[in-house]
Amino acid sequence: MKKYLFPAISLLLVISLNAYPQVSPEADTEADTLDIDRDIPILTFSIDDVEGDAESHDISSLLQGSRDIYVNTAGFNFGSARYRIRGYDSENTTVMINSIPVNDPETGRAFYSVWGGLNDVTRQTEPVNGLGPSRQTFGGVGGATNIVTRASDFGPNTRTTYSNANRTYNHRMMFTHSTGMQDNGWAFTISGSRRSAEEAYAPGTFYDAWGYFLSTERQINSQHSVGLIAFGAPSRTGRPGVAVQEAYDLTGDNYYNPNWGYQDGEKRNSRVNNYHTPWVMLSHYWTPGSGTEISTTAAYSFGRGGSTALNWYDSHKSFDHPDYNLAGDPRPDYYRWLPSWHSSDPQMRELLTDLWKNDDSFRQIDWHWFYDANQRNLFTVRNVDGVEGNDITGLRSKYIVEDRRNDRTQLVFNSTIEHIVDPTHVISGGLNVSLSQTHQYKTIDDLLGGDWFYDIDQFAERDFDDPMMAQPDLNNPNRIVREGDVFGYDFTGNINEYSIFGQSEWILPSWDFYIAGELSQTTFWRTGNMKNARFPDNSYGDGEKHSFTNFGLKGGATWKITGRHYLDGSAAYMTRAPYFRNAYISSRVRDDVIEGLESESIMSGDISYIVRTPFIKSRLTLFYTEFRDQTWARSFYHDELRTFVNYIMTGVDTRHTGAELGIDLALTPVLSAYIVAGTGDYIYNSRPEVTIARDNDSEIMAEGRTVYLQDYKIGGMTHTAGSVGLRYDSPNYWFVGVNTNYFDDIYIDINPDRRTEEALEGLVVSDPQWQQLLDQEKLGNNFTFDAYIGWSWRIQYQYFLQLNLSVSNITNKKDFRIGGFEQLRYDSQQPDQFASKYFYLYGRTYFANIVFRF
Amino acid sequence: MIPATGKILYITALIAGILLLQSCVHDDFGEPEASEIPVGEVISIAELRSMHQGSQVYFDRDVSVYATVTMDDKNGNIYRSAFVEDETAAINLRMMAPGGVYQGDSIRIYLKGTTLGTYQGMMQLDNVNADKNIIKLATQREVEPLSLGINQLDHQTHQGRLVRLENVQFLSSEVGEPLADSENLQTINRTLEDCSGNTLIVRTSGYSNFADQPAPGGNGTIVGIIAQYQQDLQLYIRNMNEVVLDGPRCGK
Repeated sequence: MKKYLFPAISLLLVISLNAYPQVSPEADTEADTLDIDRDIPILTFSIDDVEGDAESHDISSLLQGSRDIYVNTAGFNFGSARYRIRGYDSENTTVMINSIPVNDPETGRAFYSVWGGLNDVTRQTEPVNGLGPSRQTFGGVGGATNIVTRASDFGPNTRTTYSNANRTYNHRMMFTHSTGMQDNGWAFTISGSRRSAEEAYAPGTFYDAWGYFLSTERQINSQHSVGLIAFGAPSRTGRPGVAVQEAYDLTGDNYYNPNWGYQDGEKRNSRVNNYHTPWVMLSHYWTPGSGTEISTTAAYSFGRGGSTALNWYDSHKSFDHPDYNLAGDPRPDYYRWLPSWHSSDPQMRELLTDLWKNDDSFRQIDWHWFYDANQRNLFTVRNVDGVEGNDITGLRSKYIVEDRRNDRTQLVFNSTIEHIVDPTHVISGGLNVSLSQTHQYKTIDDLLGGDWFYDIDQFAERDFDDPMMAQPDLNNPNRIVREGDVFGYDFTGNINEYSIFGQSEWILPSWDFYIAGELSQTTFWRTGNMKNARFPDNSYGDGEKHSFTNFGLKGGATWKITGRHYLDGSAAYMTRAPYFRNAYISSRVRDDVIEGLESESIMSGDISYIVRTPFIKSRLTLFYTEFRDQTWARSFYHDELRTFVNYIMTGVDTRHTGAELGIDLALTPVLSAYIVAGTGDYIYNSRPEVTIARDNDSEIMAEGRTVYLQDYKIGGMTHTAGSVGLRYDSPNYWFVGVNTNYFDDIYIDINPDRRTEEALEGLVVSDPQWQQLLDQEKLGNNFTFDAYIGWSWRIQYQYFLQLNLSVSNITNKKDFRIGGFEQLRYDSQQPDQFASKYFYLYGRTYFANIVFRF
Repeated sequence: MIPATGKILYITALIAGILLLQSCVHDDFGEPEASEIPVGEVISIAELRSMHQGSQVYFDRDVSVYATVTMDDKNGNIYRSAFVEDETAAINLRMMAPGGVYQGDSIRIYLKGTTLGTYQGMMQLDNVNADKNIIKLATQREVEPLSLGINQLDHQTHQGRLVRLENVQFLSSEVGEPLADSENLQTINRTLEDCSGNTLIVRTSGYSNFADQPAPGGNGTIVGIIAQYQQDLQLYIRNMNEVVLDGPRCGK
């Protein structure tokens, strides 16, 4: 047994330390394009807007803690290809730390970057996959995972780690010291981490992050114990980008990143994420009798979240070249700067192609242009602050970097009980109260050489005769703002949730049963801190409160056919309140929710056949899940209606059906293998209705339009993935392994507006545009290969030194598209005009660790 | 446990390692030096206009013109366009993008990269980039409009000029009609007349934010820019508060 200890520990090490899925850009904020006739720079934002990185809410690193071979492999091997188990987004899995659900109240997503770098102390997890019973929470259809951080649950250990990699960061250093529960009744664990990169795998991306963690516990007597946990992970990262295929082809780089540019010879990224949301938790652990445990915790989270971006007013950004006469948008990959736009001008096409291929200051951001222009833009703002005659003359910044902030504060009170009635019966339950605020606003991050920025809404300025209509805040009109000042929009989302759950599990010789139920009440409302001129009666102060009462019921049974064969089935039905992020039409400027806002309902069922013998451990599962009455809200520039709109779909249903297979084979005492395969059909299962409102004045421009979304695939992720792996564990404490992965059925995330009668107006079936508008692109399938190796040495009986190296995508395949999305802006007559954007799997990447522990 | 000295060494190495890694990510970007735009030869607008001898002139050397902006495109009546004048003459600037210069700006125009040409009888400086060709020297320099009668307007002298017309009114058939079609974003030509029967087109874009305003019925003063299309002179309104037509009409 002992000879398996080291390889097992080492393997666990490799699996857990190797936790980093690549940073995948998302279908995110896009400063959209200019009207053909009128150059109108407009911002597009999506639900994933500015929350940060898609990477941070992909929970694959948590999955790696599972002992289920399917879940474990999916987290380890498939994470980089954006595979999602059963096609679920992370709001369907409850993630807990110390039994406190830490999913973001506003979106439901689990942002594991909140404890990024604290791998040493977040490695102990209690994962529940799918509809299984968790004893701390009801969970979602994707399951529930509890990260154990109670000080007495860490064994005595001191560990220091250095890692070197080339994915999202280059260097990592971690130090952890645990005492475990000591004789004097105290347990203590601290951990610190540092991750950094000057430039990670994608060009222009830097990484600058720390992590700190403290957990202490005081055993008062045999029944009572109190603990304090505090941790945080401040990080600043430069974001990668996503672009159209034409840009990748022209630059010869599938990781071309339009977000950065040179400034005085250094790469400067315009999109920087800056997050720090620490948690403090105070817990009381009570064991009134053997078999009963009650944990009560009060927790508080606070801090900052922000993502920077360029913004501009009257941009004349152009390029210094005698034949170049285009100007306007400062983003290098704006559609008019692509050769394909100039279909009738071969000279311009040739010039642009040449610049894309050869000129860094053309195909990347030109920071110097911004500084020059700002330093020449003398301007006088009259009646500043609404004071007559208070005219201020200075350099008005045309180009700025703004910081879009989302600062979350959350107070949680949680109490869970677990009671072993008798060896065959365990009951558990709990209550959770979460009171949270998300304060959303933006500040000036950098004036880029100017003296101030004039805070007016440029689209309202264009559309309305009365200049007062362009004021973001009538309570503070006509402001000029400087670095650090709040401007543009400022509101807080208040989200309160109260929930209780109860569960009963029976463990009998031939059968296991469980049932669980949950009841919850969610209330949210918007508090505006600015009185927007376009919505003066509906933007400032506390808005209307919206309340939802929801419930959930689930149950399952396991038939232990023999000690080695099991049949397991579960089913669940639950309703879920809409998330704050999805409920409002345009929360930045007004207090209006989607009409007919209602809870969504979810039903799910699965059956599994499980085999456990010394030779083979396997699980085969079939699952079926339906989501009904979801909402989908986006804001973007609409070509047909020629204005910036809020686009809201209601009655969006989706269906997820599929199968999962995981086989773990112990071929010989030193050789093991696994086969893992998952496939699913994730589709839209309804024809939602769309309401399109003009953003500037809430005029309803279209109502009751039908989106023919039925049977389109849910895009942006892999529906089919498989992996075969082989592992050799030497009795001399080293191991080596290889695996091959297969990905298929990857569909593009579609633009629902293209699937409407209005989009097809004027076209007939035989027109090529007809199919172009309707077809959903499927991306090609691919194989990748990974390998890993590790050694461990024991020094003087108590010190261990471990070394391991893993390489992913050994063949350096750089042409594997793992996802993409259609742009929201499109032209019916020329669907290719605004081409889809794609992202590629990183080429060969490695991760090397050296660990010293005792 | 590791002996004490070992422990100290160990922790020191640790801290050293962390500090080493700490410094390697670039944080603050300072302001780069602004590039200078040379002045070169200085000419007047009249001299600039005279350079056009029937064909386009592309400027690829250092030449500058000092002027004041009399009309910008902020209210939507003109698009990617501005009018500037000095004591000698006026000219239309065709900009590479909207905005960039504003009424009242006293500027120096650096001509390199721009093209002098004509469009349907109107002279213009084309491909002007506000970030590269315009240096702002002062703001809020309002130009006093030239007071002229409709029959005094001269195609050569007054093209692009800011003028004030007195004792004029809209044709009675147009009184109360919107100045332009904002619904369909269409430009409309309305007609002004003086009491001697001379007429002048007032051209308003459907994109302008005063397009919905009805043509006033009275007689009075109107201030605007004189533009030209083929043989016709036209007036562009800058702002509705410069249209003061509230007196008794001609003959009353």
